Amino acid sequence: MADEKDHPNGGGGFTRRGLIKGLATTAVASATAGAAALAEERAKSDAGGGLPVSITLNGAVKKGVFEPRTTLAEALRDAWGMTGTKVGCERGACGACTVLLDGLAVNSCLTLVHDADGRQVTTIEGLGSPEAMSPIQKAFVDADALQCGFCTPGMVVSCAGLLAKDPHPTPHAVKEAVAGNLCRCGTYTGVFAACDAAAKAGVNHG
Amino acid sequence: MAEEKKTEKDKEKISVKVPEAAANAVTVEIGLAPPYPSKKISISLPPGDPAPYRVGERLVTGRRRLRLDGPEKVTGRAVFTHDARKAGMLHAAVVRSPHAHATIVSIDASRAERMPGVVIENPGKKVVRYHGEAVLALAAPTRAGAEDALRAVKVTYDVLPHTVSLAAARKEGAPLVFQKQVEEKRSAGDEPGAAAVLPQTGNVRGPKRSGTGDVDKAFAEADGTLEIVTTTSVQTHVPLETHSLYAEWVGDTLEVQASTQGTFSVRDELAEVFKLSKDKVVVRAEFTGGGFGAKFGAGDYGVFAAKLAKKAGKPVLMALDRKAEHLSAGNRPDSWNRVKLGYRKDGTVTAADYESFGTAGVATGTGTGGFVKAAYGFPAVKVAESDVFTHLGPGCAMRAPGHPQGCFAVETALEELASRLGMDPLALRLKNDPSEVRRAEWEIGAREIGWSRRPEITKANDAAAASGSPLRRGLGCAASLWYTFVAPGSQVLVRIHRDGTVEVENGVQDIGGGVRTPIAMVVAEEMGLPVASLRVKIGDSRYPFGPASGGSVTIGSLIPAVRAAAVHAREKLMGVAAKVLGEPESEVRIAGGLFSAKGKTADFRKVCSRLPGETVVATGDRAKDYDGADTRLFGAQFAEVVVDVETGVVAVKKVVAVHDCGQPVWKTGVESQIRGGILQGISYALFEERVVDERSGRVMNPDVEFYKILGSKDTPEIVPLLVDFYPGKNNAHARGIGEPATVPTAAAVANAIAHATGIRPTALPITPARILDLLGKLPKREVRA
Repeated sequence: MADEKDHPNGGGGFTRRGLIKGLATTAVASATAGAAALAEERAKSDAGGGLPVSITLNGAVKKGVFEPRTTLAEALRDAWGMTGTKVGCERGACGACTVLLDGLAVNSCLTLVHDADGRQVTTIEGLGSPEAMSPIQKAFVDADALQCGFCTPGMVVSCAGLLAKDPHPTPHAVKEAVAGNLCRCGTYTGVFAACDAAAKAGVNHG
Repeated sequence: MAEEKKTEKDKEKISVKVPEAAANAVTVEIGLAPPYPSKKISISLPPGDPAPYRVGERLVTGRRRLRLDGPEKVTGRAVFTHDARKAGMLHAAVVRSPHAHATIVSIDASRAERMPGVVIENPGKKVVRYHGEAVLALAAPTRAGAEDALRAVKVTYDVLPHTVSLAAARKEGAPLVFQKQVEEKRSAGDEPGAAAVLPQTGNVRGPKRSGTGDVDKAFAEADGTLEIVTTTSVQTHVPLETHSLYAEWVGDTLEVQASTQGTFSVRDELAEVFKLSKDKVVVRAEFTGGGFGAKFGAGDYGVFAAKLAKKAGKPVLMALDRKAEHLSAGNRPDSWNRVKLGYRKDGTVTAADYESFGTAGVATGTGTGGFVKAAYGFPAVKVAESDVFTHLGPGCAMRAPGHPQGCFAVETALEELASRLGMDPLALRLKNDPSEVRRAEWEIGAREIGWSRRPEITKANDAAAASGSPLRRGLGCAASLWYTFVAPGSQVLVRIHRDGTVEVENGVQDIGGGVRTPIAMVVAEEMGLPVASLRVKIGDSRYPFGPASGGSVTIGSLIPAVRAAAVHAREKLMGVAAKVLGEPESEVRIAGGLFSAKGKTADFRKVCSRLPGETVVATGDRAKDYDGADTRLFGAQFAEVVVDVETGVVAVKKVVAVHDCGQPVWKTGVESQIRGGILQGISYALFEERVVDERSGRVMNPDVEFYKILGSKDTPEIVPLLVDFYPGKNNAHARGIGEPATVPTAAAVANAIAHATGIRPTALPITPARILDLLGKLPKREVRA
């Protein structure tokens, strides 16, 4: 758990204590009333709305109101229509949902949107567009480091995160950086080559 | 037989009546490019089909280039089915059975029904036969809301006895999965061939018998026989995008976006279920996040989505979660294989007796006997294949169905034979390989991997053992076998606009192979235009028919039709160009986007601006295959591994793969397919194992944490190579490459481990525990087979 000061309040009255209190209520409800009743209760509370969040998404401030359980991946994809970030397993095992949170690669399916409150989030859309690809994106195309393309956004973001803090990574560091990104089509050798080429090109990847 | 003969005679009569057939006779050179000998054959060109490419004729195709779908995929712009979003859209979810076998006593969905915006589809099932089987589907305005509603549904089950392992299900008195005879369900991913009516005893369906020659006689005359048993585990496809389908009713039309390998197979299935004509179901599949054989139909999930959408009057997105994907959306069946070889002292295999059992859970199609019958051409082969039903999710086609399993069995037996006879494993294979193509591949691959180092490596391993070092190195090889299947009926449309825009349309889907690029390259080749200038439009059932992508059929089925369409379009433009240039049509040439005749030139746009109509439209059909080379696809692979004999950990260092892809269209894509097939093969060899708890009948690892698949750190150096081969058969010498590299990888890795350690792995995956067990380094205890 990060320190409380790492999660500046977005100004909407959301506090850690509030979240913990909510969880406690949940536990009691679950123990006493059973799953079905709990589900009904949750649905009612959803209808009542959630808590406000404000993040800097790809350089622009984004605001929204989300219930506490909403993940960053859900907020990006469902509320803000940023579907470039994919969801492959919903438990941090495949890496398709990787985004940069304050420059660090994280699984957005395991990050609550409220934990991103007040912070900088960079998604695949923030790195570049088909019309103006970032160097690492271009390197992926050049090395044919993709097939079906579903793991690709996460893979690209992991590499971008690596290159931002380590502009000349060793082959081992590249393998390590994408160790949490599964690709079933088998594009890893292309990914290594792409990362290497982008590093050699020596452009700032931040 | 009598009837067949009559038909042949009729064909002869027809060919006499139609003089064009003789006029279309052309000579085709087939075989490997020099220095290997080729042969010339005479074929009769199908009407309207261009003559096949001659050796060295191609300028654009056959080369490497960037994929056209790259920029969209690396920037998140590509919209997958998971990404379908529309105002008012509902998210669907499915209540699934926690039991392996149970009757459904009651379903109370009243609480869920009262939740805001929830719609429910209850198919009224009475029995569930596997953990994860769908019981009821619902949809709600948010994904979280759908999950809440799921938890509010109360299902009461009466749990029944189950059987979940191959061994247990075969026993007499095992709980029966089906009471009645089961007919084989076929999908677009299967090998073509009639589904046989087979005997069914208990849970065992079969055996399905096939083969050639007199095996018993050959065994009696053999210098010796050798028998081994191999087993393989269930492999799950794990496409990164789970099975998903977005459904929306627009008037009486069902509009669908599907994560599928078959735009048209999904359309046809939905049209049948909802009793709609084919034009009333529109399926789009521009980007599919992997399939590997599991995504051909609409699936129960897709039908649920369409029904829920109808009920709600709103669009519905059904995307399976990872757990449901593992439990219910298909897998490569496990297998038990017994292979007995008869051989002569010089290493010639004279006969093979082969038996397989496998479980596809509640489905069929577990046979693994294809490889032994066709890979080497042993003179006498006897095959008996049986499906065993268990209370587990249905298996289905997966990248070269049955072949990695069969290859592992046969190539392990050959390795054992080489070791018994004291022969070099590659020499033994050459002794038994009649394929000219593969003999060339063995030679190329052996050079690339450095096979001649093998004796030195053996010596170094001995020295390492003597000095107490734990690392051993090994080289292994195995043959690949697949086939050139053609999905008939493919058609391509080329439309040229007055402003010079060229559109190419076919309904085929992109599942990762990047089919847009080879389509564009072929049109570019024929029309002399830059590849990137072409607008390739795919993934829509309103476009002309295209093949389902499975069994390596896409390129071979589609590319000849693309070429025919492009040639027809070019022919139509030539007349216009001749008028613009003021020269006879026969003098007009096109290259680099420029028409020319007798030194005069006109650019493509200028000629298009003079079109008689607003557009020129040309189509091309996939003509039937004509004469040419063997329809089998041959390949040879080599693996180099390092094994730590103290921990049992294997590191694959290098894989060399030499394959036949006819004349490749887009070499970059071919190489990527080979790399992918190899990585899935290594994953199969070393890691992938579905674990089922026999007592509860539940799958214990329906996820990607504990169902381990290969990752970045397990990736070796890969060298994909192609033989330069002209097989004939179609106008582009086109052949597929999706399956072949998957077939021999596990066997080559296993044989390399055998070389490194002296053990003979006979069970996949070859985990550290299994290696240590075979090395006698585990304390005595029962090890799971």
